[in-house]
Amino acid sequence: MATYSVVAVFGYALITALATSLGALPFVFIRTVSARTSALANATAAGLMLGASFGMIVEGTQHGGWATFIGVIIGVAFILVTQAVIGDHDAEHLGVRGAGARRILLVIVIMTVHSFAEGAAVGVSFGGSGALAATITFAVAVHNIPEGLAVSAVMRAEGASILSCMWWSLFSSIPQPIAAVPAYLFVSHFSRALPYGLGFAAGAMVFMVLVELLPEAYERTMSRSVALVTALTMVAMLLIQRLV
Amino acid sequence: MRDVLLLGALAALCAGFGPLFVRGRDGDGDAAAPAPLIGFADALAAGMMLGIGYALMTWGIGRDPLAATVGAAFGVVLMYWMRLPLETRESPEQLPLDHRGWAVAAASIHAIPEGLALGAAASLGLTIAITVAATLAIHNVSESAVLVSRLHGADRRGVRAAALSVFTNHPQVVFSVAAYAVCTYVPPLTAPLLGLSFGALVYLCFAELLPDSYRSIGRSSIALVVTIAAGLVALASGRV
Repeated sequence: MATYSVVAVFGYALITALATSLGALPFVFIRTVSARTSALANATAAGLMLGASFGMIVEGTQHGGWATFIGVIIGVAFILVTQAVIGDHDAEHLGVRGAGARRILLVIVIMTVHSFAEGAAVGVSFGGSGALAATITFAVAVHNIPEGLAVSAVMRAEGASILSCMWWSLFSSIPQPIAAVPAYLFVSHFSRALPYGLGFAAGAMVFMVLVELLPEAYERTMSRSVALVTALTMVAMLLIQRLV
Repeated sequence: MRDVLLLGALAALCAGFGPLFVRGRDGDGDAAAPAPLIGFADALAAGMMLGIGYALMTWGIGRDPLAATVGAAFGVVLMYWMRLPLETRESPEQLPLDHRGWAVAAASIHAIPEGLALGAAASLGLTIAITVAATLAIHNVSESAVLVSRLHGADRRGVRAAALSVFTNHPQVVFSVAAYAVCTYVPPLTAPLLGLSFGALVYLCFAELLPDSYRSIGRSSIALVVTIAAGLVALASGRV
């Protein structure tokens, strides 16, 4: 297992968090984002995350097949528990119109809680190969952009400034560098935990793609467009994993 | 070659069980495949296809990254293009699949990439080929239930419905044998064929299986089934 400094892990995870604020940039030029654009952004993120997640599972099986699978189950359970705690606010409160302060708060809270699992994924990936860490960091960073778009869309509709949108988008991903460091330290000091960690991260990411990104994309545009973008992005991610 | 033929035929024959799950199949009135059952079957098949697709693509990229990637992109675009006439509207209930020829043609198109995937997988080993065949068999049952629910009159009844369901999957057998032969006798084509199989399978998964599942059952149930199925298949494939 390669070793990295805690600062490096924190730095890479911070980059993914910073990417979230890029989601506010389109609102410099426009007031709202079309449903189709938002759906295709979700589809792109879904393809990248699925490709990255399968890479984690394959890496995990090299350290322990069943341990990886148990990790996948724990990752799914984590997201299910998170959903149960948060409740069914996602669909209701991620709309772009008629939002109030409570809605903004809820969106940020939802995004922030989700970020913990993504941060853990980035941290755990540094316990695997360097290529895995690079691709997971890239996938989570790209995935964060539409999340920032969602936060900014709600806030911008309420008249928030661009800087405010960028800040709160970034804030929603702050748990990523915070969660990444302990996750990395855990798998690097307890090497037996690595396949569980990789499975956990993969399970949580695949589950989030299937429970949030893809259904929301299907609701907003034609399924063939979603399929085309998701599949081609997944192909690109697999090639990147191979070449990095 | 005999194993590939046998696996392809078994997967296709499983389609004959689909009509058993269609309510009102003996009448000429409205028939419907039970949504939750079909939804779960589609989700299970989607998860297995994602896991298998990833395994096939990993093998392909390992052999020839560029050829496998070009093959995968071609597979995605090919399926997009082939399915375009069938997707004039978003809801499957609104598709113009109200007569036998159209319905059978639509189902048969699916079977082509599935057959290619089986044949390409068989060139890698028997275990992965059996996994692919099992996935196709599960998918064929739900697919034929939906197919039969869209047919009319005698086509919807008993043996005739089962025979029609099996017939629509004959390309699976033909193309699996062809793909296996190509991989065996022209090894440089294995990587692009594996890529093509991956592209076609994941496109079908995202364009049809998952959207149909989301219409039938809840998001969390689908996500649970797909994640666990994909994880198990990826785990099994990683050990092949």
